[in-house]
Amino acid sequence: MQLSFINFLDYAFTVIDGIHSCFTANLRWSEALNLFWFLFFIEFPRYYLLDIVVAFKHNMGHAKRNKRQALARRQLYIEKPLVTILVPGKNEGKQIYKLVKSLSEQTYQNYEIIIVDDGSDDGTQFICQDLQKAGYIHKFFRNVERGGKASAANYGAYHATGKYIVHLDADSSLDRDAIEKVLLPFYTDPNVKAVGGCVKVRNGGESFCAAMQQLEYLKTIQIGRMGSAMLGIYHIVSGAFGAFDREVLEQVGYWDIGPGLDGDITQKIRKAGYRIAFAHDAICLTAVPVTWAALFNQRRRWSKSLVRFRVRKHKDILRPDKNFNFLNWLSNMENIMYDFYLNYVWFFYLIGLIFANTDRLIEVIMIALVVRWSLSIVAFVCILSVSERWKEEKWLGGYLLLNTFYTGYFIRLTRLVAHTEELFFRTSYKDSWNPEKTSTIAQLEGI
Amino acid sequence: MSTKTRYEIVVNNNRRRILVINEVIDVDHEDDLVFEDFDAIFINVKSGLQEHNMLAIRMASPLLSEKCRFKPCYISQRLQGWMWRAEVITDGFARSPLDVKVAEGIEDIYANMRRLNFLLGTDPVITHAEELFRLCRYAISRGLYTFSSSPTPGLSTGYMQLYYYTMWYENQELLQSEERNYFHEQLLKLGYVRKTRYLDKVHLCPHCNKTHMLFFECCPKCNSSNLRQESIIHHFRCANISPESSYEHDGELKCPKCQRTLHHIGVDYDKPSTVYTCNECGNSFMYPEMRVTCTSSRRSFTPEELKPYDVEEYEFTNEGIKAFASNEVVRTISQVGFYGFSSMRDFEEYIKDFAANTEIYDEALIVIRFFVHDPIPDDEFYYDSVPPIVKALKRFFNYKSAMWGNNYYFLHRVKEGQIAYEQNRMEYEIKAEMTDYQEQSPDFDFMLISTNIFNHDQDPDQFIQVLEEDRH
Repeated sequence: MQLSFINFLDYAFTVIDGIHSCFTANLRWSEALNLFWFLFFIEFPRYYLLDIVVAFKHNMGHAKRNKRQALARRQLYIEKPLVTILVPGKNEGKQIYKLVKSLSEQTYQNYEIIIVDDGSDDGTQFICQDLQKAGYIHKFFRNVERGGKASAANYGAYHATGKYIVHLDADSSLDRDAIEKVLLPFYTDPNVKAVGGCVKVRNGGESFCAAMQQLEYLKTIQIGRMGSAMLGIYHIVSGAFGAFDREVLEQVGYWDIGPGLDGDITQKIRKAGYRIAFAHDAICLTAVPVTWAALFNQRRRWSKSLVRFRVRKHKDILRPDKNFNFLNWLSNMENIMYDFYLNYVWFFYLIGLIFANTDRLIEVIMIALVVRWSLSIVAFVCILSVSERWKEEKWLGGYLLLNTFYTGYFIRLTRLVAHTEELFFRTSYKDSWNPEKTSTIAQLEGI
Repeated sequence: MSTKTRYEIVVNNNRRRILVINEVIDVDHEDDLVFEDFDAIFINVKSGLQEHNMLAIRMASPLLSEKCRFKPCYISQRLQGWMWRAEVITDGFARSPLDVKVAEGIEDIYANMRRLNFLLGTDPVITHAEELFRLCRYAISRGLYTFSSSPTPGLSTGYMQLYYYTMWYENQELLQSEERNYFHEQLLKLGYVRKTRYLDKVHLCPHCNKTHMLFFECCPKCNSSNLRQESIIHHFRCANISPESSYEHDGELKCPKCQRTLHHIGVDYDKPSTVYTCNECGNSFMYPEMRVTCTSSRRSFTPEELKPYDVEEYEFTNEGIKAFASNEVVRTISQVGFYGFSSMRDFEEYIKDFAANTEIYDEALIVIRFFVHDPIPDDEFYYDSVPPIVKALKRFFNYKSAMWGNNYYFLHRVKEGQIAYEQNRMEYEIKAEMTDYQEQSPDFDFMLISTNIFNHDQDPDQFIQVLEEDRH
């Protein structure tokens, strides 16, 4: 006992010495760059440098943006189009009342609410019927047998009469001006036919896991999508909150079978030649999984759709043919490269790193941690500078150190598992998220 | 056979004299006939007009006619099925007045009345309360202690219930529902009736208290019932989901999104639900709304707005039978709550009761006072009362009327917002009735003395004093 404590102390001193030495002479900058090439040359430009540029541009362009938004807003209120709020879901009855109440608080009031119940086996049907009678819901449809999320969304979209369709998840809640803000991009650029809203986490305080996701959503959705939208390669309108031009939706045939149907429909709209915008200030709060197991399953499902849709179904985007569009190519390529290909590269790099540095592993890990931490702090400052509610989010700064383990390892390993599964076993077709009848056909048809 | 006389009296084997009516006659106004002349009635009118046949029985009704009161009444077999609601006050159908069945029936009825010490009485039916008393007495004389409760077309609750029997016209029945309830409550309180069973909960029009409703499935947006119902098809392959008609193509089912042909339900498509589309406004929905339209009041409601009403069956208790048989009810049951014609004392009591009722706050009473000079001698007065008043009260069921000497009072309970309208209408209608009557009997004369409005702020005693001023 005594001995092991002394051993531990001894080891701890060695570690501290190691960290100390890495900033002195042990590891030169050139050597560090060599060692952490993945971080510096792959991750840094995409995930950190871009954020800095976005934050800089955002904070410099307030006046211009405000002017453009004011113009768009005026146009929106002159036209005042009917907006269809489409909420497909299963067993979401209890959320619906909260949702419609929060919608009645919206600044933009010319909307109709369509709820589609996809074969619920609880009281959803009766709750919705009551709400419809009470006038909270304008239209309510129900698949007596579950047909999958796509069919539910299509069912509602078919009966929509609004000029724009805002797709919401039942557990979403919106800022009072969110509907208005998500519509503005349609009026700033007539070629924009779909707008993604900014999804944030409502229940970050519930568990450590949820807090990490809140941080992640800020990074990848708010500032991340501002970046990809700036480059013109924004490729996913969140299912939780997104607005579409109804005619264009009809033109592309509404939603196809998921999972990942939100990414798929965005691809289809891009392919049809329209632009997608991201409304960073149209805020939607959503509830995320609070346990690691639930989160793992959710991400596995999301990640599979990358292989299923971007690598397989929409691989034509990557081919140079007469429909070729560089931005679409780049958008898909970026997604495939960073989330799919480089994920495998990272895995082998990590193994290589471990084997090559067995003697100074702790040291390397510590350095990586410190470097990532300091980069995260920079990124976090960027996030707060673009966030409209940074005062409520600054507490997440305390989790930055642990973020390395979350985004750096957990998310990547989850993806790795999912991609490998889908690549070799096409497991997304067996996912109970879709009913078996549709999955069977989808697999037969290879879609 | 020689030509038929209008009526004749035949004697059967039991020495009962039976009045055979061959044509519609007003028994009470036949001067040659008196109460003691006959023991039973046989109606032999065979008109092609149903109304004619019904009128014959009405004129010789054991309920309404003074000379025929409570006497057994039989009807020619050939009219069976043609008497409609009048059937409930007949004792049976027979081929001839001398039929054995008739003879037995007559004896049974008289035996029953003897057993009950049934007092035939000579009081005329003038007030509504008296009409109801007579109805109950009639039922008891026939041994009907429990009223049948089968669903009956045309009645307000859809059920033949206690105290409904006198009703000849649909309106007459409904119009007195409030009185009927008042009467019923008194009977319950006095222990004259008791509940035997619960029958049903029916739903009444909240406006007119009737059950004659039409039910429609209609569009929740525009309330039109011009709807079209269609199956929804879900194509598994592309998740397209739209009405069946959008798939129909040359007799095949073809997906409008991906153009593929659908072959097999359950394999490549299914029908998860049906949707209604409104042909008027184009709205689509899954659950049409129910609308109910009342055929009487012509108003529309949602099913939730309808007034639930318990239909219960009651029977007379022994005390009740005794009280009605001996006509004791005239003393024990208060007549204040009845509309129609009443004594002046009851009329004033009604105003006081109204003033004392704190639950009524948005209603008022309109009281119109006429001075009438009527040349009809008092001894003829009993049956017809004052013809214009009887007529007016039949038309305006919820007026209450009383007279004192030559002063005629009409009272109407109205909502506060409608006072002016109702007052004008009341004055106009009653004047018109009286003018009509004046044309027939030129000696009749009348004059509107005053119209008074009573609401809850006023003192009832003072108000009554005003009504009684200058009375002579």
